[in-house]
Amino acid sequence: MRQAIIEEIPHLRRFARGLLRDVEAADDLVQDCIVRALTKEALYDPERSLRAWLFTLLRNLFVSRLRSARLRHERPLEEGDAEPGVAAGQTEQVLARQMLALLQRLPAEQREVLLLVSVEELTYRETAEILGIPPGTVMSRLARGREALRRLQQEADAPPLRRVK
Amino acid sequence: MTDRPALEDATLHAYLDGELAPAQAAEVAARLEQDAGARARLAGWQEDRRRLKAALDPVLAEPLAPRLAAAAWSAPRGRRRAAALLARVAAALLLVAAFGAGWLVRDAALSPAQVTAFGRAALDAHRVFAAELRHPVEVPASQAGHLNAWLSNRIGVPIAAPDLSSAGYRLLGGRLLSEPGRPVALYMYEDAAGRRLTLSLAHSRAGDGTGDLTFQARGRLQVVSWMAGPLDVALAGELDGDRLRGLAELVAAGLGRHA
Repeated sequence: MRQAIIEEIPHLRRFARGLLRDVEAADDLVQDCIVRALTKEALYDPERSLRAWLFTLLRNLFVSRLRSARLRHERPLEEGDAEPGVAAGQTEQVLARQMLALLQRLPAEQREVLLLVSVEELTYRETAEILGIPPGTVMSRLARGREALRRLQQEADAPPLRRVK
Repeated sequence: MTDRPALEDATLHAYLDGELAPAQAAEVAARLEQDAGARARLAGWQEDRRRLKAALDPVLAEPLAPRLAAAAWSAPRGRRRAAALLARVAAALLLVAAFGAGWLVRDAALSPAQVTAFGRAALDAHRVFAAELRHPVEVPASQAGHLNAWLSNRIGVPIAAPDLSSAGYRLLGGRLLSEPGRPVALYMYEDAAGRRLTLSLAHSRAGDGTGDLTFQARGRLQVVSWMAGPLDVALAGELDGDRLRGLAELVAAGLGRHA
């Protein structure tokens, strides 16, 4: 089980990094998820994919952290810290980072659906199970999320911003 | 195409995500030929998906963070019997992983999650308060008696700021912080060069216990945390591990409990 969990860590980190842009905060989430998985191992249904179960745990931890951050009137976790100095270089890299920044501006419920479907390439049904919502809701959140992201992306790509270069 | 309605967005998303049966997908593909608007929408989403993956896929190739490997190996299950073996496996893993990542973690293999979490909170507290030039503490060391009594009262365990002067650190004072669900006492020290050290103490949720030192780092900042009797203890500063370990021993002795 431990070995199997370790093998899933890269995917957990990728999912977490999309939910929380700050690397440390995302890894904190993954770490808590691993600990939770090992303590709740008895609850794991071997019929289910381990990754899907771990995603469920991670996502629930994420939601409860958002909630407690809000209760404590903290700065929302999503905003993250200023990014540690990655040398701005390739256009592709710039686009990628811009994308992550835009993603953070979506509501968490759209963000998680987008990440599971578009990045983790899970089916609507698997995504629905992880999030505990009907597949129809997955589809509507996905549509809204993609639409919003497109709009933000178009604003960001708009010529007035380009001229600064 | 004349009598056909435009392709619906829901269908297009399902097409993009491979959710359609082959026959349906073929039909959508054929209809897309005639529907420039739908093609443009689809292309936009496709491009965003590509960028999103390009942004996040590199995470898969990152070296395994030592603290995550440690978390997977340290666990509540099969603690005693497998402990020694696991510690060695984890140590080996950490050594390998520490090269790639900016992390330096030692002795973390068998520490309970709570100790790790407390260390993390102490790191955050250090980052916030050690940077304060003018108001680093609420109560200065000149009122040490009052400070110790106040913090003891608030956290519910009798404590006194350990004397670290033999290591070159003098007490600046202290303050009270809050973690969800419990108060935390923070003592701050400073050496002759103005480098600061923070000591966080809280009433442990785990009850009485003692534990190994758990080291974690964020950039140049290091923290060591452990359990000492009824206390969760964490010591943070911009120090190397050996120096921090020495100070932790001093703190443990000063608290009158074993580390």
